[in-house]
Amino acid sequence: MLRTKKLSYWYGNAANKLFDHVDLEFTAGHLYAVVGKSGVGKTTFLSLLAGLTRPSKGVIEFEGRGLAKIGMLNYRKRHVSMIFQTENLFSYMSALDNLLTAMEITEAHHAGDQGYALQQLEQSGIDRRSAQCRVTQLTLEQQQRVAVARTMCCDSQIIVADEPTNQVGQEGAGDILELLQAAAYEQQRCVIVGTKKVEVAKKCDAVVELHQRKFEWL
Amino acid sequence: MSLRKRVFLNVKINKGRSVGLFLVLSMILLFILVGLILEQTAKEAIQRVKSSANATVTLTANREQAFRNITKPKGTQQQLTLPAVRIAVAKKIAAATAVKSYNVSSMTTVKAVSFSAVTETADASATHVSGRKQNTENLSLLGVTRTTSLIAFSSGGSKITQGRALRASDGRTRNIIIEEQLAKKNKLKVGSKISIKSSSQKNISLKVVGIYQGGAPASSLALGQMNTSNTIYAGVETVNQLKNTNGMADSVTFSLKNAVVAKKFVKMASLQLDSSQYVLAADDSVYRALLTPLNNVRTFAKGLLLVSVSLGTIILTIIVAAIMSKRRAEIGILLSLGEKRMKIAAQVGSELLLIGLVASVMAVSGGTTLGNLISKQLIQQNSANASSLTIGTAQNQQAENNATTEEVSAQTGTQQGILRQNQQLKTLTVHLSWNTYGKLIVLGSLIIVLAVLIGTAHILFLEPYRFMSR
Ligand SMILES: Nc1ncnc2c1ncn2[C@@H]1O[C@H](COP(=O)(O)OP(=O)(O)O)[C@@H](O)[C@H]1O
Ligand SMILES: [Mg+2]
Repeated sequence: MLRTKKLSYWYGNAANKLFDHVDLEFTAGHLYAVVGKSGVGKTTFLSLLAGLTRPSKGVIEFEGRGLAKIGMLNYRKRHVSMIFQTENLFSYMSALDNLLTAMEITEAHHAGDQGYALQQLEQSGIDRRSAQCRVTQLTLEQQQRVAVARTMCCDSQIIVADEPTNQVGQEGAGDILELLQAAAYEQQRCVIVGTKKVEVAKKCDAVVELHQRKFEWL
Repeated sequence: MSLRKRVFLNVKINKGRSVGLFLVLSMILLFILVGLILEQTAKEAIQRVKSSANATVTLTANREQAFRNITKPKGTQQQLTLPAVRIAVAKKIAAATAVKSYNVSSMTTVKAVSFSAVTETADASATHVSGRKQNTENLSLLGVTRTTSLIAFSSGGSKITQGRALRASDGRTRNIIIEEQLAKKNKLKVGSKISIKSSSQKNISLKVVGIYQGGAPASSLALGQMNTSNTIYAGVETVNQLKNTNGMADSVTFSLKNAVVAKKFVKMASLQLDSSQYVLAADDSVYRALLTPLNNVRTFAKGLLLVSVSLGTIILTIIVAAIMSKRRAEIGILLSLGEKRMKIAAQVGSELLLIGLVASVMAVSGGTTLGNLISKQLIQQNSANASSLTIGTAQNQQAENNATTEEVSAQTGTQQGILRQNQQLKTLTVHLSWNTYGKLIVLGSLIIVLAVLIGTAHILFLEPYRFMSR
């Protein structure tokens, strides 16, 4: 579904490559973990997969077509959803409005369907009352749950999550990972999670480590 | 949630930011509006002045040249006669399309026979101190084509209170108009007859057809005449007959249809004249004196507009840039969802436009008041300069020559004209039209669009990934 071909990336100086000649493939129905030490380049790699950054060298292909060819904007809009570490949501809106906005912008299949959005929120552990609250009144854990629900509402086959449970307690982190597992196994999406935490990596069915410019399947 | 709803919600929820923007935009729009209102008001007033202010051009003999000829030693004694203007020459010039009407003026000094001149002057003690008691009161008999076109009358300094004005057709008749005080003193009415004695010791009978009020211009005083009420207006031919100067005039004044063309008219008409004999001088000082303060208001308004638009754009751009930095997360989410950059800019712009629209109402309520205040200030300041200047020149002129009359009377008339029109200018109130409000909206929108395009550029054209580093 998603593959990198001779992917290289560096900031500024080509001598200081974060990674070089990366050939990886990610397929639908799996929950992947990208692990590595802090500062090794996980976030950078994920942003490349999410179409937020252009490769320094090499290409990323979605279903056999290069992202540049699909169009970065179009790719972000239709094929990938991103969950950030924090501040995932429009702070001036309710949880429900966040979902409805995302659905509208991405022109999702269920765009405008409030009931569907509420249902997704409920499945992510956000009740109806909380769904109507301004998101700033929710806990960080609840906010991450809303972010997960948002990716479910969008039709994207790929979900990229960068340290999605970093700001969340043990129990909440487990719930969120279960939601991502469900997305991968039940909805046959391709979910890629960047993490430093071993407990998170353990819940994924494939783990790739970035170490000294190389990716290695564990 | 649609873009429109997002705009409203954002403005509503981020109250502090919205109020701050409202205040900034109100200030910017207020200054722009004041500039627009002043510009519009000045423009309209200038238009009014251009179409209504009168300008005159006066033809006189070239006295300087004449005097130079006299002082040249030529052996034989020359008779000193004041040079005059041939009416035939003036008629040729009057044929130009720019000329509305023309007035021939010829003056002579006469003595009262069947009546007595007004003697009490405003400053009665002055006569006693000097000890000069006039036995024979000198009067000035001022021959004019028609009194209505004299600046003294057209500017409102003098006006007919009884009977009628002198017309061109009164030229050969013995019809005259006299001043109110002279009439009162001698119990003269319209239809009364008076008799005067000319310098050639002839007695002539004249018929009063009208009585005017306000006194003739001080400059029309004849040699030895003590009071402006002693100026009698008569037909040109009547005066010329007494002076024995048929076909001649002291001066001829042309009233132009439009003050704007005064300079050009003088240039063109001068080509037809022998400059050693004639002098043609434009007096568009009423027009100029009125235009000066208005032009200054207009210049001020344009400056204010330029400064407020450019400064407003800069300030707003900085504010937008600052706000955008605070909204990095929000922009990042939008970009990651695949929202077009232009749509994000449109959202930010629409938020500002919405607040700006409310601010424009605020600006309107303050703008008219402030505009009036500034316009009053500017007009007062400028017209004070203008009138003191013309009073100065009028007095100089008066001291310089006692020979001609209409020329100086034109000056004095000018002065009165300025004072009268200044009165109108003092009440020059600004007003707000829909047109001006429309311009405000257009300029305001332009500033907002510019500020958003520049202020969001640094954020929107970065790679979206930058918004993820938190
Ligand atoms: N905009 C940037 N310019 C230059 N260097 C950067 C930039 N962003 C990140 N880096 C560097 O790139 C490296 C990888 O960063 P990142 O991808 O965030 O790593 P990780 O997510 O694994 O902690 C780090 O050393 C970081 O300092
Ligand atoms: Mg990271």
